[in-house]
Amino acid sequence: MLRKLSAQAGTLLIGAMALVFIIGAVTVLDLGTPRRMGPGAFPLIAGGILVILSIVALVGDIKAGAEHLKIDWRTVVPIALAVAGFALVTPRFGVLPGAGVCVLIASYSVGALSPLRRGGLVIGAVLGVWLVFIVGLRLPLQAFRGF
Amino acid sequence: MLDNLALGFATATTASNLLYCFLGTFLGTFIGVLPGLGPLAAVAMLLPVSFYLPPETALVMLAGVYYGAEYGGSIASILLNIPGTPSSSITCLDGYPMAREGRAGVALLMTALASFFGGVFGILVIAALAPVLADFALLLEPADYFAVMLLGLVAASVVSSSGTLRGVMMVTLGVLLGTIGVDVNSGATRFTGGVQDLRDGINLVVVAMGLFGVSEAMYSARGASASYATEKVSWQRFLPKRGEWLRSLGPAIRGSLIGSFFGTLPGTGQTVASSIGYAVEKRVSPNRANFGKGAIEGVVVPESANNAAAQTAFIPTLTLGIPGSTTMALMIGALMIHGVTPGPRLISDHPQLFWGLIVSFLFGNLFLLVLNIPLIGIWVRLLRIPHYFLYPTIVVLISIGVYSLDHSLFDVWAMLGFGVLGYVLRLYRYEPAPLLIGFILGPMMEEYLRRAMLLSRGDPMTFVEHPGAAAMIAISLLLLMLTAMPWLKRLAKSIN
Repeated sequence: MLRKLSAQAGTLLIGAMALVFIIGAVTVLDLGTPRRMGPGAFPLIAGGILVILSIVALVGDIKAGAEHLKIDWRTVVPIALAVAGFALVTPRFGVLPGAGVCVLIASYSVGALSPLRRGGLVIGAVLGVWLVFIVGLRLPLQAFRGF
Repeated sequence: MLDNLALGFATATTASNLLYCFLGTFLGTFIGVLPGLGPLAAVAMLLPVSFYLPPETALVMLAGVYYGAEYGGSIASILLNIPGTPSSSITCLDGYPMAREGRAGVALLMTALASFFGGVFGILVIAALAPVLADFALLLEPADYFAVMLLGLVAASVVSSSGTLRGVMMVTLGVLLGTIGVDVNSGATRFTGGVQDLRDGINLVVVAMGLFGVSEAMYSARGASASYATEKVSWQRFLPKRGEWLRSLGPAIRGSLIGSFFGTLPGTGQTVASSIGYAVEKRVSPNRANFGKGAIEGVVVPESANNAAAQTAFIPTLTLGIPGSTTMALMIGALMIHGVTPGPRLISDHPQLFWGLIVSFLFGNLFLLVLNIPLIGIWVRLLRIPHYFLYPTIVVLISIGVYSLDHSLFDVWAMLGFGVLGYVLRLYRYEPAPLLIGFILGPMMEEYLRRAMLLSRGDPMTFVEHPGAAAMIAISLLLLMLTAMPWLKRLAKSIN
C-alpha cells in the first residue's frame, strides 16, 4: 500500500497544496456573496476543483498501476545546493563570487570532471557573467563586495 | 489608408529609425536567448536608453526589442527546453524534441520563417483593421473576457503532453498559485504565510525559471558526458524535408489568423494565442499523432500565432490604452514619458507615430529574418557544447537572471522551490507548462469573474446570456469533452 502511495506522490502533493488553499480560504479569508465575491471565493472554487481532479487522477492511476519512480539525488542535490550557494554567497561577497560558487557546486551534478576542466568551467562562467551582465548589459550588480 | 501608409514609410525609413529598429531587434534577440531574461526584462533594461530619443524612434526601438526578445525566447525553447517567455513554452513541446533528433537547425529556420509570416500577417491586420478591432474589443464585457480566458486555460490543458486531466490539474494549480499576494479588490493578504516578499505575489519569471530552468537542469544534467547535437552546421541541415514546406503553409495561416485575433483582446495575448493555435492544429492536422514528438507543425503554429499576436497586441495598447501584457504596460509607460497618451485619439492626434510604428514592424520583422537565419549556425553550436559545461552555466545564468529582476534573494530561493516542485511534478508525469499559463491568466480571470458577477447581481446565468461568453464556454466544454472522452472510457473500463 505504502509503495502504491509513494508512486502517487506527485498527485498527493498537488491535492495537499489544493487543500492548503481551501483551508486558508475558508478559515482566514472572507468568501463574500455571489454578487460581491470575497478574496476567498475564487481560491475556494479553484482549490475545490483541484481536489476533485486529484482524487480522480489518484483513483485512475492506482487502478492503472503507476510505475515506482526514483529521484536522482546525484543531480538534484548539487543543483539545489548550487542555487542555495549563490543565494548565500552573493549578499556577502558579491555576484561574481556567488556565480563562481554556484557553477562550482553545479558542476558536481554532471558527474566526474577533471580538476582542470572544472577550474576552466568556473573561470569561464564567471568571466562570461562579468562580460554579459556587468560589462555588456550594464546591470547594476555589485561584482565584488567586502573587498 | 495609402496616405497613412506613405506617412508611415516616410517615418520608418529615416536613417535613425532604421538603425534603432535594427539595434532593437538585435539586442532583443540576444537578451531573449539568455535564460531568465525575456521581453519584459529586455524592454525594461533598454527603456532608459529610449528617454533620449524622439518618441517615434524610441517606440520603434522598444518594439524591436520586444519582438526580438520574443523570438530569442523561442531559440532557448528549442535548444535548451527553457522558454525565455511563457508564450514560447508551447514551442518547447515540439521544438525541443526536434533538437534532440538533431533537427535544431530546421526548427530554428522554421521558427524564423513562421515568426516572419505571422508578424507580417499581424501587421497587415493592424493596418487594415485597427479601428474596427478596437471598437470590437470595446464591446466585450467582463463575462466575455472571463470566457475567453477560460477557453485559453482549457486550450492550455488540452495541449499538455501529459494528458488532459493532468493538464487541467496543472492549469488549476497555476491559477491557485496566482492568487498568492494582496487581493486588489479588498486589500486582503492571501496565502503569504506572513512573508512580506510574497505580498506582491510571486514573480512570473521566478516561477518560469524554477519550473523550466532549474528543474530541467535537475532532470537532464546527469548523462552529460556528450552533447545532443552530432549534426554539422550546414545549409542542408537547416532545410526541412520537401513535404514539410507544403505541410507548414496551412498551420502558418491558421496560426496567424488565431494569433491576430487573440492579440487584439486585452489580457490574452501571445500565450493564449500560441496555446489555442497549437490546440486547434492538434485537432485539424493530419499529422496530429506526431505532436509533442517533434512535428514541424508544432513549431510553425505557435510561432506564427505568437508573432501575429505580438503585433496585434499593439491595437488595444495604442488605441484603448489597455496593455495586453506587462511588456505592453511598459510600452504605455514609454509613450507617456514622451508625452503621448495612448487611447482612441492616438491615431488622429499622432498619425506619424502610429503609422511610423506600424511600418517599422515590417522592417523589424525583416531584420529579424535577415539577422537570424545566418545566426542559426551559432545558436545550433550551443548544442555542441558538452553538457558538463552547459548545465552548470545555465544554473548560474538563471540564478543571476532572476536575482537581477529586483535584487531580491527571496526570488532566488523561490526559484529553487519552484525548481524542486517542477522536478517532482515532471517525475510524476505532470508537465509544468500549463501551470505557468494558469498562473498568468488566473488573476485576470478572477478579476473578470468578480466583475461579471457584480454586474449580473450574483446571477451566474450572465455567462449564458452573453452570446460571446456562451459561445466561448461551449467551445471550452466541447474541447474538454473531445479530449477527455477516451480517458473516461479507459477509467470506466479499469474500474469495472
